[in-house]
Amino acid sequence: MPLIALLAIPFVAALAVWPVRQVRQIAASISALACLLVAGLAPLAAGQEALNLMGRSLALSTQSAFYVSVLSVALGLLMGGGWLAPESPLVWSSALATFGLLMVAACATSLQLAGAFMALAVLGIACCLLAPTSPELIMRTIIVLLSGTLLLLVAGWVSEAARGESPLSLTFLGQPAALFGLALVLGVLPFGVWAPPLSRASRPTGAFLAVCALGLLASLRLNELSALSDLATWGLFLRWGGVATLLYGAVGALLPRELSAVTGYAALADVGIAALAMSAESAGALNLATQHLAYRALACATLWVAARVLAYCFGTDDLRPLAGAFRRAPLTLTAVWIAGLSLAGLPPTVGYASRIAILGMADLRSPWTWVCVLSALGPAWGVTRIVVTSWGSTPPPGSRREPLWLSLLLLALALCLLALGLFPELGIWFQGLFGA
Amino acid sequence: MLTSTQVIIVLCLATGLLAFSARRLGVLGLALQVLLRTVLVSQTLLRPVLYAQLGLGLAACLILLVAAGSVAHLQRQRRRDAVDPLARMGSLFGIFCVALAGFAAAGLQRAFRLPGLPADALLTCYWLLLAGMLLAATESSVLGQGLATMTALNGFEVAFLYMDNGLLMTALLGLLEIGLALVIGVLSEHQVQRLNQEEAG
Repeated sequence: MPLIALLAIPFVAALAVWPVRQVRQIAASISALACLLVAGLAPLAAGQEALNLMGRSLALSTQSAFYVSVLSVALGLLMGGGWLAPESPLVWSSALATFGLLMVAACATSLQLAGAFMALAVLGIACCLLAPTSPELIMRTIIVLLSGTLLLLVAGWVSEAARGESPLSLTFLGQPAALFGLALVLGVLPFGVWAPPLSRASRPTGAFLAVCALGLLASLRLNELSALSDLATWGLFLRWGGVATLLYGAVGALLPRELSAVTGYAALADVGIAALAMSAESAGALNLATQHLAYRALACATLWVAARVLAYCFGTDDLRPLAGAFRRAPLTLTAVWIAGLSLAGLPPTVGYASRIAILGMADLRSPWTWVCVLSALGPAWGVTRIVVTSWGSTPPPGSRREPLWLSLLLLALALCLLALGLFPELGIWFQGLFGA
Repeated sequence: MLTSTQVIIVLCLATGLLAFSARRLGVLGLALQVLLRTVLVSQTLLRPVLYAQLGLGLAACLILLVAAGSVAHLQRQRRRDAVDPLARMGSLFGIFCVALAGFAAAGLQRAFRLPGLPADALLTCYWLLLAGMLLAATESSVLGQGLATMTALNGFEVAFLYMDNGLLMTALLGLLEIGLALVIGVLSEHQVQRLNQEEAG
């Protein structure tokens, strides 16, 4: 499978879907199929001959192929969820083109080129988020993400300049660019406050690309980024930034009553855990951080699509009118519970397995380790109270039954998160399919 | 080429106009920045690439000019007694921000030099980056924040085109500039429409 064919799929699909963007059933089906096609073909393109793009090379490593597949599955689910309720007619083409740009960034052998493609992807994310009600929120998000991606680009340039024929030492530029760029893109505090409001903007696809996909692909460059930094500063910044992000997200998830908002805060808390892994000096910690972000992306996609299913069935994903909702949407709410527990980091899900491994690696003193463990209660409470509220005897008046095919997909993805937690060898076997 | 004094005067004018008004005058300031950037990087880029960059920069300014026209129209139509939803912190405040950015840029230029980058280009880079970031943090309208972001992007491009003037990176940055202008234009229109609806309702 040539790499160019794989990279062309999202862009061709974006063009194909443009004429039918108003017919959401067709647009959603084409978009979801394109994502699944990418997920299926990525392992075949891994390790193939590199492409030459005007003097720069693009190649898909086996590790990147695995994470591109994971993101494709999650995005395919979000696209399929668009079959139920429209976001905006722009979202299909924008999301596919943005994903294409992110794939190119994942394939770029130089961090500099990856940063440039990620910066372009930020504009695509803005197109996915477009909504007449929240232009200020979108503008702020663009400013933050663009700053982050351009800082990564600068970090890439510094990294290349240090390896050139006449090497330059630009620590004063490379270190802050790498640290702040990563923190801005991932949403580590104090730069993470942009992320939770996105989940309330009723644009889950754009929120997913901004909150999960961009951060995950940036984390594929962790080795290069950490090499630019003084390890003590890198560790200190990410460790305490991670703890602060975790606490902010955990406390934030206690308060909202909407599933989409709870997901936004829980996702932020999980970034805190990934940042803790990045701060650890143990071998394999950076890979573990990336893996944790990938599981988080799957859980977030499940929860955001579930929120959309709830809005379709009951008119809202707010817990107040959801009493008795379980009778109408049992599969969706079961999926919500499992994916929510994984995002919170509770057993027996995969989120728990990777969280425990990370906390074991992180160099935290005893009280802080307990604070990190207890912070799982915030997101768990946020999700569980929605599920528990839904256990009433009478379904909400005027509600609809859940769409079976989408609920089954949601449940299947949630069960994957459960199975990966129960049988960790499954994840290793799956990565083995990619040759990683 | 421009002398250092001329560069500083153009920078004062370009960022001062933006600080004074985040509408049409601000777009004029942005156009001045694009021209200054073109002059500064003219030695490093091939002529056709340079002209294409200039064309893209000016096209971005034209897009933003249309958006600025809509914002100006909204503010003219507003009832006299109504509170201005796009009220700014004042032109004087913006100019103070630019002055602060200028002084900080002069200090940074001396403290943190980049090898291979002339002093004027480095000063322009720091000045535009700092002014852009400060104005983006203080502006209330989407257009104002967008113009400030474009200013910071211009500052970034001045330095980056010196460091890496390959065709691919130049093209990607040009694409980013025009794409950002389009997104700002659309978002600004959305804000104007929403404010119109709120006022009508």
